[in-house]
Amino acid sequence: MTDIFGLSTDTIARTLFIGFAIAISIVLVMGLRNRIILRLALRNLPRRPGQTLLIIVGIMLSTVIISASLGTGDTLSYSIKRSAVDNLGEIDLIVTKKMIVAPDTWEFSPSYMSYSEYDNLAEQLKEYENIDSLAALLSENVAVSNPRTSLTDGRVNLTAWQQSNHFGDSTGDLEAISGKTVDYDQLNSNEIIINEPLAEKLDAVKGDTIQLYQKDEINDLSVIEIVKPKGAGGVEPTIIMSLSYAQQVFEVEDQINWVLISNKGDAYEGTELSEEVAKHIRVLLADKSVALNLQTLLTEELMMSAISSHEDNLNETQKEEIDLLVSLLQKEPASDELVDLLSKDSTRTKVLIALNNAGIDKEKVYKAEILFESLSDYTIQDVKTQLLELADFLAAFITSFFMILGSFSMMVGVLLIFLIFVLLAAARQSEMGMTRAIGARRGHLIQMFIFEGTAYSLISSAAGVAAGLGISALIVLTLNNIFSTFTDFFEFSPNFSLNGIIISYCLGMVISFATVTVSAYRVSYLNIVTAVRGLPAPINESSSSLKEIIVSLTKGFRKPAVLLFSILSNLFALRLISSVSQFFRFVFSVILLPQVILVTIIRILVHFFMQGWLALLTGAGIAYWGSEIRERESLFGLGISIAIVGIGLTARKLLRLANLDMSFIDRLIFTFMGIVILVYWIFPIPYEEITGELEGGPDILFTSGVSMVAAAVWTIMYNADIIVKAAIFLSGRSGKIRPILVTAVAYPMSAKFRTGITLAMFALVVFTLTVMSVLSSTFGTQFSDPEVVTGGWDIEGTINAKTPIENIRRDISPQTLKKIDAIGGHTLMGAEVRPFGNEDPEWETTALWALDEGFMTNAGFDIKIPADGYGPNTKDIWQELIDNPNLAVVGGNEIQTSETRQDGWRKDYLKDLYYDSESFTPFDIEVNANNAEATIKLTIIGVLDRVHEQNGSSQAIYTSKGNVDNVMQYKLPITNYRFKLKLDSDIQEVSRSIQRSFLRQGMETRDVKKALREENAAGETFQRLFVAFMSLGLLVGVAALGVVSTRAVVERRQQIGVLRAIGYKRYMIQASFLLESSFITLMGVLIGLILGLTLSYNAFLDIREDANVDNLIYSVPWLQLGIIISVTYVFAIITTFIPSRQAAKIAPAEALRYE
Amino acid sequence: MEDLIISAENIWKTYSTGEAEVAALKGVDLRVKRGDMIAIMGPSGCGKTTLLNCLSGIDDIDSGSVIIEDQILHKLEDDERSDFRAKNMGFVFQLYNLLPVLSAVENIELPLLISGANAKEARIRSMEILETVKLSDRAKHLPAQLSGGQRQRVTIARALVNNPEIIWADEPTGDLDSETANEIMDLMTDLNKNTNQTFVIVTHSQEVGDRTNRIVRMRDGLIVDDGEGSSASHL
Repeated sequence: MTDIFGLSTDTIARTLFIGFAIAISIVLVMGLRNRIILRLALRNLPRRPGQTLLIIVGIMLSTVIISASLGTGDTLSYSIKRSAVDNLGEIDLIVTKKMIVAPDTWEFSPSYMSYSEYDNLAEQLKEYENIDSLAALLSENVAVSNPRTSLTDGRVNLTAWQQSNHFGDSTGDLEAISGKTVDYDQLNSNEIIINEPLAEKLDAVKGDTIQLYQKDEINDLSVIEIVKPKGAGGVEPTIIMSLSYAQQVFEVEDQINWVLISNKGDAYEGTELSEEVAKHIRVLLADKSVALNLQTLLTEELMMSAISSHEDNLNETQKEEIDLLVSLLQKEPASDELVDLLSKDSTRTKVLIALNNAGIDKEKVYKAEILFESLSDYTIQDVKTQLLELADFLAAFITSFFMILGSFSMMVGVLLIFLIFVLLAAARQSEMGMTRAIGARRGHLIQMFIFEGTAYSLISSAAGVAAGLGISALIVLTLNNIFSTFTDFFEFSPNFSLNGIIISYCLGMVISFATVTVSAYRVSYLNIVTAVRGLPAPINESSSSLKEIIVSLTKGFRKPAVLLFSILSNLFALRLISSVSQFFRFVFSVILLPQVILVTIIRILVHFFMQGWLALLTGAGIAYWGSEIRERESLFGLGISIAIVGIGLTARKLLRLANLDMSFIDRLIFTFMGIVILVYWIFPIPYEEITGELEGGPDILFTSGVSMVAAAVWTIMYNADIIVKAAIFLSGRSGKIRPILVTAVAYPMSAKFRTGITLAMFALVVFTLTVMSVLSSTFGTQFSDPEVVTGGWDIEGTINAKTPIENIRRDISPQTLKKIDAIGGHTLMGAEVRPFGNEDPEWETTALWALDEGFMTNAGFDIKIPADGYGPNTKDIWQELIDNPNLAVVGGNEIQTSETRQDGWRKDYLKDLYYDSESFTPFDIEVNANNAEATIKLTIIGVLDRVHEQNGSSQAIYTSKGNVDNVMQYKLPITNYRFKLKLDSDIQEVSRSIQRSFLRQGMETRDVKKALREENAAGETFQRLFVAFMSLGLLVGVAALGVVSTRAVVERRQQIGVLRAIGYKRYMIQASFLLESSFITLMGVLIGLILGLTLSYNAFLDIREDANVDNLIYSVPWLQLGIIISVTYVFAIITTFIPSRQAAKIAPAEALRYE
Repeated sequence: MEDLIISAENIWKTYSTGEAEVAALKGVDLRVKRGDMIAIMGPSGCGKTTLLNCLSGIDDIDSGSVIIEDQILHKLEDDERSDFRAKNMGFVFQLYNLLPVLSAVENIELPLLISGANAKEARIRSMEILETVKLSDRAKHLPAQLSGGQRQRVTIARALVNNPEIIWADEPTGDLDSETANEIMDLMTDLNKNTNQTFVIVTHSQEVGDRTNRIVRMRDGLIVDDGEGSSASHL
């Protein structure tokens, strides 16, 4: 993988490594300066091995997520690249003659070149040092059948190459499935080698006779070997035959259609030369005189100004290309650079669009088009680079995707690190007090925690990288399972790059280190007694008088000012090297200065923020910025949430002046803030009337999740007594459970800080999982019902366009025909479209479905919007299409919804038609089908429901085939048939029978509903994979519970002794701990679940309204959520089980003695 | 025949400190009459708290026997012993050892709830006891919101709430100033007189010892002196 988030992995790895090295150096320098503090810190590690292990596991979660994401990306990149290399071997470039439209079909295929052309090219490239070898190849698409098994395949690659040339050498030998090498040169006429995928499809074995259909001929071919799907063997179903025989079959004597080029260097290195080699060949094959003419034409003033001003809608690379073209056009005549640039398809397209847009004289544009066409007869495809780039693109995409999915878990991980350090500080309060008493400064305590935290981070990052790679291997395993639904011949193999490992380790380390540093700083200021007792975290008393603020500012900046002065005085006195220790002191000061300044500024900002007014201003500012400048809903919401906190904190400040009870004020204020924020997010006020329309997006999930969970958690924690009472009330008036429950609920509810953080961890993760699961399941309902999606068709059959069927009903056996209820046929073709009758409107590309009467009569495809005067029922619209071939319907995906419209989309011909329109006035369009002799005028009378288009083309126009036939240069063959059966149980049998009846046509049938169900299942597996990945955050929550429980056992040892003394039995102590964990887990899960269901329901309503999708049903995957929650609960209980058992085992006398 | 409530014979208890074995009790014999208030005194490390723990059944013994209310304590299973403690014993500790997360009244009613009492009745009974220790106005306060003396009174109330036969007190005044310590001792002696409950108090303080009717002195894991306290002489 070469890029993540648009940055090169090399750069990221290097930068992170440098950052890591600097951080470690600072810690080392600090450690060397205070060795005793370093020793004190490091000795904490072996003190409690169990606790150390738990902390390491807790801290490593962020690294695990990063490492798993990168590992998966690396694997994807490696596997796709390996597959590309397996497939292409040493071949880097393919030279073909320009595509032409075959005379008997509208399909494009490369035209043939003679041996002499090939020899000429080979001769010219003989001395070129960047090329290893050339090979001539004949490649075609054919229909075949195996009469023995009656199985067919309508789309098989056929390859044949010159004997003794380098093709086999470049791609590696043909390897039989038995493992032996197969000699291609031994192939006689009528003999073929097939690859494993084809053998499986036709259930063919060595010795079988395969029939190949070419035009009206049937060629019987004997299978002499079956080879593995790699290299020359091909990955897709492939037939390999001798070149001479292939030329005979396709009637192209002494001709080939592909020239394969292998660059110098191995399969990977060779691609580095591809650009240069491609350029060399392009220049070689171009007609320089045409280039000169084209240059003369394009340098005309109007042309030049059209090209140079055509920079709208171009990206930076494209703009650079245009600039280069403009400058080359003005330089020497037909330079190699210019010829190369003009020969590129991308240049041709850009220039022609520019000329058209600028309104240049049509004749001149046409002339330019002709010159571009005749510049070269050849096309050069940089196939391997394209595949390798695709591999990197996909890998980067998947890595980013997993990282974004994991971001919640990473955030939860950061919370855990913070919690761990607060608990460590609480546990060591007496030691810290003692250390302070003997002269240690607060800074020493911070350093002590940083040393300890760094040690944990170093170990846990390493463990995290290893665990992450393990998880990525599991992800890859799942991906392989998913892919096995579609292909048996592609597999991801785990592969991890050094860069990936460095990035995971250093990034994990940096995150842990930063959190540890902030936590260490925070705990050194924490009122430890308060933290231990679990009372509300005190918010610094804010000072409001000007004098106090100035004092605070001066105090804050004193340290950095002294440091800065020391640096400057050292600099100006030029005493830097007067002593080594002074030099080191100076370097140390320079490193430390920005950190000190930053911390001081943050402290002052936090101080003002907690007073309320800064929070209010910040919130208002973010809301304004979000609504007016960025127009993002998430930012606006975040601003409002912060502003609500600001109002609360300001009110708190004012209420304190009224001399009311502090705890009462806090309860009032935090409840107020919590409820108002929840109301804001749950019942969104129609603020868009004031702010205008704001953009949504996935970021809203993060903002709303964090805001709602924080609000819910602090509302609950500040009203914990109500929950305690409710729980006790529910436990009944008497019975053994009551005393257990009393302690189980009272402890967590009184330890607001740690319980709040643990609750937040569970709630955040469950919230995200719920929203993700519900939305996936809800959208699944739209596309999951095969009956609806397929429009009731059961079987789809495709044939080779070169062998059309004259009368399908005639050739199907009578028994089979009896089982068929309806048959429909259609042809899918490329087309251009524009409004009819307008002056010079631009053509826009689309797909055209030419439907036969059978298809339209039995379509089963719903019409979402009928045009005025047509319909109103779906059946009526289709009938109108049958009756009048000049009518058409437009696909739902072709048009936008009014809510999500973007300017410029299909702007001319679909201007005022939206998917959420109730109706529309019929309008005329002009369609230019590929290879048609004339354009067709069509009247759009309806919009097809999008649900039927998920398997077809994304944008399309549907019309009667009769109308299209009239304007084609040849008889348009039907290539796609659909069959509705009377009984579902006959699908397999009918499918086979149809396939058998149309062997010659290469008919390939598939059970469309089954295929859809399989796709849905694969989609669900993908979704489960993502959910599982996101569930990693729950592990953090479970780890947090483990840490909290272990700590609780230590803290409450004496109290356990008392409870045992006054009659608590062992099981009661254990049950109390387990119940406490259950209580926290279930409460966190419940908060996340309720908030997640609420938000996803709101999102569902929004989406349904915006996209105007009627068949969207709010669907909660209870089973999936139930499994996630149960597994979390079980693990939470298992984690608490060990500490709770320890607690139960404590002998009362021993516990009471414990201090 | 004497009405003995506690009868301990030849109790041995050894602790392992990892490297060495330390004999905390070396064959202690002790008999306590119902309604007695005795003080166990001695220097630090003499084994007095260990003796209290072994007598009350919160610690195991190596050999010997402890009979309380005709029940051979060390032959009971752990859970049976817990039940026995819940019904027959109350505990008062030097550091109060109240549950910090429960209010005064909730702390007091806990032993009743463990015994399976009805919640409403448990609350009424706890409030009565709080009244006895003169803290009914502090019922809803958390321990952290009470003074040392108040906390110790809550502890005593918790020890009394089940009407136990025996109350074990380990340094009940150790963390209190002398005035508060006197108040607590007044409370305990009054209860001893009024309810005929047996009090076994471990203490360093001669003043506390003087308020009991019997002082048992220990040294090196053995009882070296067993005499009447000054309050006994006042009887």
